[in-house]
Amino acid sequence: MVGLTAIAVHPERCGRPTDAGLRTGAEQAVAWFAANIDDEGDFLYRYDRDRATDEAGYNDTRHAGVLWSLWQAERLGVEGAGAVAEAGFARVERLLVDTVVGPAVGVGSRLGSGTVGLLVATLDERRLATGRTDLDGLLVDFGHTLAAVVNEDGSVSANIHVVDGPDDSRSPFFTGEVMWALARLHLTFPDEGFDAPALRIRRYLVHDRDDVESPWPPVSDHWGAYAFETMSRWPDAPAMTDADRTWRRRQLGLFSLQVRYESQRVGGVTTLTRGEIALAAGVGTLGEGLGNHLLHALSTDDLESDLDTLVTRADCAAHLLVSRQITENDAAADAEPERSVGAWFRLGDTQMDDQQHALSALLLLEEVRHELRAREAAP
Amino acid sequence: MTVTLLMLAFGAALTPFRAAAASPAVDRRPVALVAVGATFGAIVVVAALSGPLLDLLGVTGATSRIAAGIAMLAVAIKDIVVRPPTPEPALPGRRAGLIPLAFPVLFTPAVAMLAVAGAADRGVLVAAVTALPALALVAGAVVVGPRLGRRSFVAFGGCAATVLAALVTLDGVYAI
Repeated sequence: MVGLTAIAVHPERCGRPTDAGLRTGAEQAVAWFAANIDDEGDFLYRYDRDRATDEAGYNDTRHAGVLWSLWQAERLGVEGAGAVAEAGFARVERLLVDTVVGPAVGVGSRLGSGTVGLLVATLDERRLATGRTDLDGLLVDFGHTLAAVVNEDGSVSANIHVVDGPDDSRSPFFTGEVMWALARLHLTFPDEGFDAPALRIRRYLVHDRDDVESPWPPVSDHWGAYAFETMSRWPDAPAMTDADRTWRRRQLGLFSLQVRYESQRVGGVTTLTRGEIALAAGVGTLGEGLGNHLLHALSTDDLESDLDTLVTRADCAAHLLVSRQITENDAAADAEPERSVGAWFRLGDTQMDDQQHALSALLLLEEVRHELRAREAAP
Repeated sequence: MTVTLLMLAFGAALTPFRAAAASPAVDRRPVALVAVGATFGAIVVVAALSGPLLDLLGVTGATSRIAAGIAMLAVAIKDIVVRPPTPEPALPGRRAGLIPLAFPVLFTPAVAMLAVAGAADRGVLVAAVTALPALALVAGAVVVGPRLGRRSFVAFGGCAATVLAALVTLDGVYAI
């Protein structure tokens, strides 16, 4: 019985990174992207540190995610991030495709709606970071593509066929990505009618999505968290319903459980009882989910859960990321240190979305701390 | 963890049927008082140590609920598959309320973990108070004696405890 109980009560190795630690971690991640982009705007997708080899593959949705995170970093003052994002946009321009419902991006005849969603976030964030409006036409056109993938019931078609348009495929993450993109568009272009499809997705996400698409386990949806936070900044923000709060409470539980579990993975015997550490992309999404729900709660004062506990969990996610990031010292003996410094590895491999989600999580936690201090300073 | 769930969980972990099975043939009232008093005292002590204990282990309150659920499940399975405890061996007289009744029949690892988890979540006072209804039932069961401690009754209590164990575990899993 003691043994069984001990399996459940591993120590949770959490901490609270300093502000400087968060900033350095973000800067190092941006530096990794800067060092690992080629002349065509493609990033190093996956790298095996032990064998010092680039591994095959690419994913345009992840490429779009990287661009969004880099513009987020630029907006929040990480030097050079915007230039890398601008260079990475070359791949988007190269793979831009006109489909029957509007522009999309990718290779082949079947393109992801999530890619378009993250590109909307990218272009909108670029707009915020630089004030430039030269790509507004494409941004709005992307928005109309997204409006076309939202079905009557609020579900989101994951694939867009160039000739036949959206199909009935679903993705655990594209739903939140598209909702977030439309939510952002409504903030930036309030007269274009992007709020209606965004609200349809919100209703579906809260009431039906898990039952219809993923009865078990429920989706741990950091993109949904981004969308809720963005919608809370609409001038005509929808009120939180009991169902919204129930959904958010369950999401926070999922994020927190995963943070607690991950913090128990400290090597040694825990490798047997808890397994290897998670991908940094996964840990990053936990920080993103918690960070967005915290920002939402702080701006609206609408949170029934204990704020301090949530901040502790978000700090813990950031601590795990900061403590696992490869430093120059760690990579001193590497054959290709520029492939490793600033990156996160699991079992010797890193993938560009590890850096992307970790980067966004660290930056979000910076924003949370800023908001908390502003709140404390308020009379 | 809601107060209701904590109360029900104590009820399941301190199952009166198991206590009745270990009830002595004589002096049941004083023995019941000693058993309930000693068990309550142990619950209060463990609950009061909850914070330092969890800090020492580096474990959150939410994870301690998962641990409590697992400990409850293990005790519940034992109640289902193993013969109920017997009144003997026991300390003489009313001290039978201490051994075997309070320790080890009533104050199991499941009850200890529930006290820790309950105090971490709701505070020492709430954790202690929510154990009282179950302890009152236990006292009654000890006074009634072994006819309430038949194996089928103890196994039934174990079945109920498995349900509560699952609820406590899930409460910890989905906690923030």
